[in-house]
Amino acid sequence: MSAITLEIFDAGGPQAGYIGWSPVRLKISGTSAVGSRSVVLKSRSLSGSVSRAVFIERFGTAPQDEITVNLGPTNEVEIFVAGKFQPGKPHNGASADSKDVVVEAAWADQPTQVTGSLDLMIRVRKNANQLSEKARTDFLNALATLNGIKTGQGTTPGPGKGVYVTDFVGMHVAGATGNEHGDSMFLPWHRLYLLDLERLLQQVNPAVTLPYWRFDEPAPNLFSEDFIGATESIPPNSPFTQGVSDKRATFAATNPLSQWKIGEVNGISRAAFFDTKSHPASGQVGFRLINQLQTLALGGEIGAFGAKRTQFSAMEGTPHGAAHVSFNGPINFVPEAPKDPLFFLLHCNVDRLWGLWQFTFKRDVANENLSYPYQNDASTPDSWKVIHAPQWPWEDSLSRPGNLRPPGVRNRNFTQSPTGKTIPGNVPVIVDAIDANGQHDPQNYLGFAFDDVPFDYDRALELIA
Amino acid sequence: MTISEYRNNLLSEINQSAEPLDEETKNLLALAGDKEGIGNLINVINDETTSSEEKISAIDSLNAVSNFSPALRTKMPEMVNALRGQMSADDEAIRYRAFATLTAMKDEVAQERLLSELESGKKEQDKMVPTSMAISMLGTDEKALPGALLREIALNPPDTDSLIEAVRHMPGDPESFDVLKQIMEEDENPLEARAMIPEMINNVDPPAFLSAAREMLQSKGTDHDLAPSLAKGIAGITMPEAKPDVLETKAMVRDLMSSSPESFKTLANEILFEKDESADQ
Repeated sequence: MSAITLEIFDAGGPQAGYIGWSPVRLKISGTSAVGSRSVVLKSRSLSGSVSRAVFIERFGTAPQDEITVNLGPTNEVEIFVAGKFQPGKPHNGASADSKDVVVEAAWADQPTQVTGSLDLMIRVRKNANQLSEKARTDFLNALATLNGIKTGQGTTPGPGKGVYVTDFVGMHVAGATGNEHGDSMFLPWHRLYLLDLERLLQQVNPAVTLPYWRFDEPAPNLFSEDFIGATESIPPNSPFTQGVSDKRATFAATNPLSQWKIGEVNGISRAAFFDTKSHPASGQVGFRLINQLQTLALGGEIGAFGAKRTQFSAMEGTPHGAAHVSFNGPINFVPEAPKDPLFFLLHCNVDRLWGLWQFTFKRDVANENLSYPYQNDASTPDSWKVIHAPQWPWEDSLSRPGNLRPPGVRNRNFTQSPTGKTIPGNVPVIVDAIDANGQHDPQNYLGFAFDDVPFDYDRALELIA
Repeated sequence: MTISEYRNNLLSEINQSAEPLDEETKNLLALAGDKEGIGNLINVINDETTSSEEKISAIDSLNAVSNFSPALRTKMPEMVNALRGQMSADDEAIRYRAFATLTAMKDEVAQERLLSELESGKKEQDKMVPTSMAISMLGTDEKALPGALLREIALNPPDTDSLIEAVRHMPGDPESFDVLKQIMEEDENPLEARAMIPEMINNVDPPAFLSAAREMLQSKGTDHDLAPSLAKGIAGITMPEAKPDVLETKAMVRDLMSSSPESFKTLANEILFEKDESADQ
């Protein structure tokens, strides 16, 4: 029986076979000895997994658990494959920490005889408090590697000297706050920032994604010595000390973050104004953190950062800002915050909330003001905020307001990945971040997803119709 | 459940359950874009007649919005001046806030005040800010803390936290080697300080570090609280000329593995013993 070949869109290399909820191309080819050109495809979960794949004949059609396709005279055909979103299942059906779904192909006249297969991981960003031990360990090792910490074999520049410090801490500083905060570019800029880091993490280990800290729920597994650090609680009326704390997160000796360094400074200073074992983040007195539903209830307009603060852009204040100031330590001050790796888990949740809002209110249409308000040069005096503006630090320019050069090696060096959209010239623009799921065009798909933000097939059907 | 049903459920939850923003939060969000409001809070800080509570509330509000307020950026010089005026406040809650905010902004006036006090020999209870906190505040600027001062504090710390902060911020350089090695070898020092040191000194003087590591592992055992950090320090040495010493130390660790706790064995195998032993030759 002749073999059937299955080639996923990112075929070849160690990063092949990682999909999310968005449809990605799957090429099926083969020559049957008995002349049949029809192939049956289905997916199977490995033991202990609930993950499944779905098949989409053409972009904009409904997903199917099983599909029969005809290879035609060229003996090959291209369809789409995606992870099956299964609400209520662990991670809504995403893979826990590794490739646990097999796509199996058989000739239609012998459907029980599998002659081609492809291992996949439904790789999405997950709730940090719910990670498997392997997923947590993989993430910490990859993150530590980017700090410069040796976590296994191979060489590193040394703790505190890796790209995390030189580039990712180096780009989120006071001199660049005009590029990054205080207006509607806040959400897309940070989405790109996170994606740049996540793609580097995946170069270390392709199974890794950034976890999100669901700051409106207790996260005792996250604030532990085995993860982001056990964090002492201080009374809510303790002095709020910007950028510093007299307490430090503590780590198990086996946790690679026990060697965390930023430049020459060891460890992570952090204390919480809430009980991290039993409570969600608190915000500050008079500045409360709002929960997920309240955040979505800010409404379906993105708004601009002016008088209309009750629109969705207000989420930069709360819950985002409120989550930051739930602590003493660098995490509570924008120019210092990424020195604490909790920063990226906090912002991963901010990005997830944006993604959930985009899904709920259908705000992924790039040329709509409701999705992003600065559509052209006339809409704002600040050119870098316009939707097609290249973004610092990846653009070879000076930051605002500090006129800083791009740090480290970020200049024209946004990390590319075979599992998502190739960013032209390695310089992202704001519009790259708007249709991140590839809802309108599969080529827009950035290669990441959240466990609770699905791809909307119903809308894809509408848009194609 | 279809995706549309998933969305409709979410919309239903939003409509039914979401509570409105409280007034205090709305006011703070509005403040972020309100230059006049920000100016008023700065005036509260400057006003000698306002109470400590009012001043604290003003500073906290300004700090809360500083992370997302373009309006505050335009008033920053005034805010800095106001906070400088509070560095000598009688109320330590105000003083701590003033110094923390200013040093986070790398304000040189605040840095100079804290440094001169650290160098003064003043009694701990008479200081504007405790030593450990002062080090942490100055540490937000990598150029603000002289190594010599940190070494002095580490050798004669007023308290445990000061020792830990001094070690945290000390550069791992030749000048600091002897002080760091001494602290590392003394079990009565807090583990939190000792555990940082192997990585800090391992590339400054690898033979000296490795000799100390071997001595400590042999005399105190691999179940000693510092053993994992020593293993990480050994693994972190990158100087090619240290290779014979590294190999000797690894061989010694390998000999100790049979009597080591599982956690140490796992760590040592992961970071010390390469799959391809020929790489060590």
